[in-house]
Amino acid sequence: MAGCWIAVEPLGDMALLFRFADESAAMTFARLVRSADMRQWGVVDVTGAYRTVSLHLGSGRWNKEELINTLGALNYQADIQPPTKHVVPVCYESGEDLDWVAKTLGLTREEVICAHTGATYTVFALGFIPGFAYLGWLPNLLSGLPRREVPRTAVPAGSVAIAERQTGVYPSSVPGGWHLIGRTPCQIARPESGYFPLQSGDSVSFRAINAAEFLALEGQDIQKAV
Amino acid sequence: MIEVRRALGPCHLVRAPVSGLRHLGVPRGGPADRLACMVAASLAGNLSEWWSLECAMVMPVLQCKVDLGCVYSGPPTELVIESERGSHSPVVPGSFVWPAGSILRGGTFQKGLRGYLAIRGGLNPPRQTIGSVAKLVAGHVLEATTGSLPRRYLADLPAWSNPAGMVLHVLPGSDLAHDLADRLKGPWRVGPASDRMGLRLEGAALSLPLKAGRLSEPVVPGTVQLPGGGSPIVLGVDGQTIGGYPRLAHVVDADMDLLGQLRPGDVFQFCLVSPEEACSLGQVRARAMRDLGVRISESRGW
Repeated sequence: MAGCWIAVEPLGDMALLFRFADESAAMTFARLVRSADMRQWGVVDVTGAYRTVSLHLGSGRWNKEELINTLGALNYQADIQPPTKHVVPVCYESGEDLDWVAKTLGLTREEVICAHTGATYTVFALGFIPGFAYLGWLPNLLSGLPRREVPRTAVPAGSVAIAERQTGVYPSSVPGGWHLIGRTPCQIARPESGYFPLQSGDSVSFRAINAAEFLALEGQDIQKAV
Repeated sequence: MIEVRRALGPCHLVRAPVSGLRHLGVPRGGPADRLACMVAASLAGNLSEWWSLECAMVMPVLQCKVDLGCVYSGPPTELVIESERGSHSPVVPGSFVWPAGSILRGGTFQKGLRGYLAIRGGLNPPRQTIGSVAKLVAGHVLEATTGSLPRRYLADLPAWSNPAGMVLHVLPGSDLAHDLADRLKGPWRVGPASDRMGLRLEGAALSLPLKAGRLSEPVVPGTVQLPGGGSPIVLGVDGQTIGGYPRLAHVVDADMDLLGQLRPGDVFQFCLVSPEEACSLGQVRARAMRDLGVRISESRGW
């Protein structure tokens, strides 16, 4: 059955972890369970990451077999909201590591920018900190850089970064081990007020902007693609 | 109004965990010791959704602008209320009135890590937040409702036991190789760089071959992760929502309060249990919480 898991295992005594054959099946399952509102079965949270989804159970009584049977009976062909497409403007001139990234990959700055803006990425997970979106996959040209050996103690909010096969945007200033190739002037999330425009399964592309446009867009919300 | 004059140790406002936000990367949060926080909030007649103050190692120095009804619960400590008319120490755990203009301070905790102060009517965090935790620093001003509390405490509250030297019950994680099960036991010492996000453990390093290209997967409060260096990290209530390190084990829900009271330097052991044992530990704890709640509501008298 499309969207169905290939394995389920306990994640402690208050959550179950479901494994899927690919990212798309996992994201479909997570969206479906979230929209089905499974609270009466004890499910209080649904967290997806790449090919896995966890269901977090409340402290009340719940029955694993009943829950699994109910999940198995969900309609995986049901229409669920199509993913949203977002465009994130990026000022690559502000990328502290852009020169290092280009040199290490044997590319020019322009080639890095062109490769990064040329691809469309999927949000595979939100996590690490509220609103941080794990985006993949990077084009082969940009893939393979390991994380920094010593993470920065503070990465500026809005930093656009890459590591291994992934790219992401830091919603706030936090420690970070990815390589900074640019910065967006826009708000990628405002966790304190519950504004999270990016959701798992959404697609994201980046658009290069100059310093003047950076100043003009500062503090604005990210745009949806038309 | 309450002003945080000096924070002294890590200090947070906490309330019952808000669910439905984990998929956005928002951790569970809430009190690291749910039982201790519940005792303070219930004795104050507060709902668990209202904010209480959680402090680690030592009470902050606080000044109130109006009379407040308060309850302290947590590690044994001496609280002192200082005003121009002199100073006195309310008997805690229990309720007391904190008169307008006076300073409330406390000694450093000798055993255990986190104490809770509930104000009758609850507190408001210094800035908007959707989660269930807000960090406090010196200078923050918290809105609180003028109030009073009759002198109440639970005479038969279970005695405070030193969390150091205790056993944390764990369920096996998906990466717990057979030969690691014995060595996972410990003993482990809580490292200095530990906080509400996680406890870094010191002890005989464990090793596990790292698979390249491992994808991040969901984790939970209590997950015991093993980074490359071989020293495990136990995720706390503010722990990240997803992670890429191998998962050795998960602390059972019933022992999460104990985890929240372990302080840097404390030594403890892990004990592997079956899902059935975890379930019965959970039932025992749920019953104890319920009984305590009933006794507190019967003792309150308003």
